[in-house]
Amino acid sequence: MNALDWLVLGGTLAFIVLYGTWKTRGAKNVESFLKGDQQQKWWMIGVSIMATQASAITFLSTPGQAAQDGMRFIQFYFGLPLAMVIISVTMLPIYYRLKVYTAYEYLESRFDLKTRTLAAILFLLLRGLSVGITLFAPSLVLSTILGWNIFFTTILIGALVIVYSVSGGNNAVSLTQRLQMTLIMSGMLLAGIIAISLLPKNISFVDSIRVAGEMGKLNIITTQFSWGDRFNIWSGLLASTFLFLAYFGTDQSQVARYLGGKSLTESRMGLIFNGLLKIPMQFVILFIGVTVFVFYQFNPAPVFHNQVVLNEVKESKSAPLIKDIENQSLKVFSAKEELLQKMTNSFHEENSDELIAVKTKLKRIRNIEDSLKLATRSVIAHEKNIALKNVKDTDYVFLNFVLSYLPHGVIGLLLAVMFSAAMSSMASELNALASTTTVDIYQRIFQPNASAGHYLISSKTFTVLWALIAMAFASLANFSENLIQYVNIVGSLFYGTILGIFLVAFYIKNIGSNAVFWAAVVAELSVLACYFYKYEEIGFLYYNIIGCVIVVVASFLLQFIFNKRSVPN
Amino acid sequence: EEKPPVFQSWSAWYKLVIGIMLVQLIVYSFITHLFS
Repeated sequence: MNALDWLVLGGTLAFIVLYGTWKTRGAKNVESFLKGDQQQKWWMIGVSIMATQASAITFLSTPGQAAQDGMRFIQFYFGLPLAMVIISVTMLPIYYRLKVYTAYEYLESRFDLKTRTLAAILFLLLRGLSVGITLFAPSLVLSTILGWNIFFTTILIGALVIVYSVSGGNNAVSLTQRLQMTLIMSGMLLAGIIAISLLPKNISFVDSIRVAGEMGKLNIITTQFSWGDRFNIWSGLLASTFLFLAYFGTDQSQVARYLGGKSLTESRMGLIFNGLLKIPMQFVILFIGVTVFVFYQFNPAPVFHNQVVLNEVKESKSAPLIKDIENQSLKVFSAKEELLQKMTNSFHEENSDELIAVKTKLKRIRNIEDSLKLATRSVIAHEKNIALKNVKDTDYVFLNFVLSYLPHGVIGLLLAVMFSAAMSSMASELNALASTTTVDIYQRIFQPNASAGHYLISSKTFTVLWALIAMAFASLANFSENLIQYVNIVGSLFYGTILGIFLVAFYIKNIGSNAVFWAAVVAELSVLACYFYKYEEIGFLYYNIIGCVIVVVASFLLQFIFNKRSVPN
Repeated sequence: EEKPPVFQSWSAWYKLVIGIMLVQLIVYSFITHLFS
């Protein structure tokens, strides 16, 4: 980081926050604060939906995930277009007809207050936890890489979001998201183009793709099914459809995005926009990760991408071990470089015998590389006294590459991308948490007859309160999983149940409130039992199906029993 | 029911969304098969 980087980082963040605050200053009433002025066009809604879903974790973790595990993570998003169509056909018209503030209001008109409150509380739990992770993830990575205190990074992001989201409400969230998304996509594309240009001059673009393929990184579609495997086309088309139905259809942070539309048509087109563009966007981000992987095939890679941790271990008594691993890595790299040259020659000469021989040797080299990586992680685990499975550097691969190899100015821009992505998601989530707390809990249960001005002030207060909770969580948290998976795991713990309640509400007319309420309680306890007792056996994406199916089946059974005993419903 | 932009019906848009998803699925499967 030099002065130019700081100028770009500070300048872009200050511009977005100040412009967003000034342009949408002074939300007049609680309706415009929570729902916006409802003048959003389809492309504004589409951008806002995408900016809410893509947090800093998306841009930090995803390229690293592709570099280490290949592109198969993209399969997770194949359920999204299906979910967009189902929501456009079913949920959206109902929300519009009832003119709701939050998705959970509908549940009271269909069932009763306790079912609405249960769904609202489940949402507040899941989104309250998620907003903490949304803030924690970039704070951790950025503070580690920049050498800042994590507390400072957390406060900086949190405070910037509070400034505009409390001042302008939903309008400010949407406006800043358009600026942030423009910055994010141009920054990521620029990083991708520069990464490709950094590849050796004698390696063509097609060669680099073939190298990535031979190294197993172009495993985009995998068709083998296994309950424990998180990402294959079956979990993508089945389980993630349930997750996205719940996320976009019943999560207030997304529902508020399209309820701010000018009309039902604009909202529908916003969802369709998202359904068309999401998979290509993720493809680009994952492909940038693959490019970084190829770059490190032709340039020596660090033995561990979290440089701060690596440097700390280098100053400990384990230093000779790490030094030894680094020396061996360099030897392996020289051997690999020679083989890769032979491999690209065999591509050009179409010499398949040579290619097979080279591939066999490369496989051996990669096994040695894997064992050196394992040795590095073992040394770090021993030195830091943490479990081996918790020593990971996926989240650091991309930013470490940016800081080491990209030109000054672009480094500042990419850091602004990460901060902006964190802010764009956090702002939507805080606005949704404030809406649900105000409309579904505070106004409905505790203070039903106050003035509109009172609810505006309480909405702003809840926005600040949830931001403070997220900041406290982020300052105290300590995680081990790859960060992008944490958000999806937390979501999957609650979404199945919430989606089940909504599906019963929409489609099964003869089920009453008592049956669905207790079915939801049973479903949520079952999902939590899966997480605590069957974590390794059942991939977390399937929690979405398990929770949803239990709500539907159990509410049928309970309604049948209630009818038998003729309990009034 | 409001009419959608461009097409005559909403179902045409929905078919387009699903169709493009399936095209991506086929293209990505082909790339996976070709390079792995």
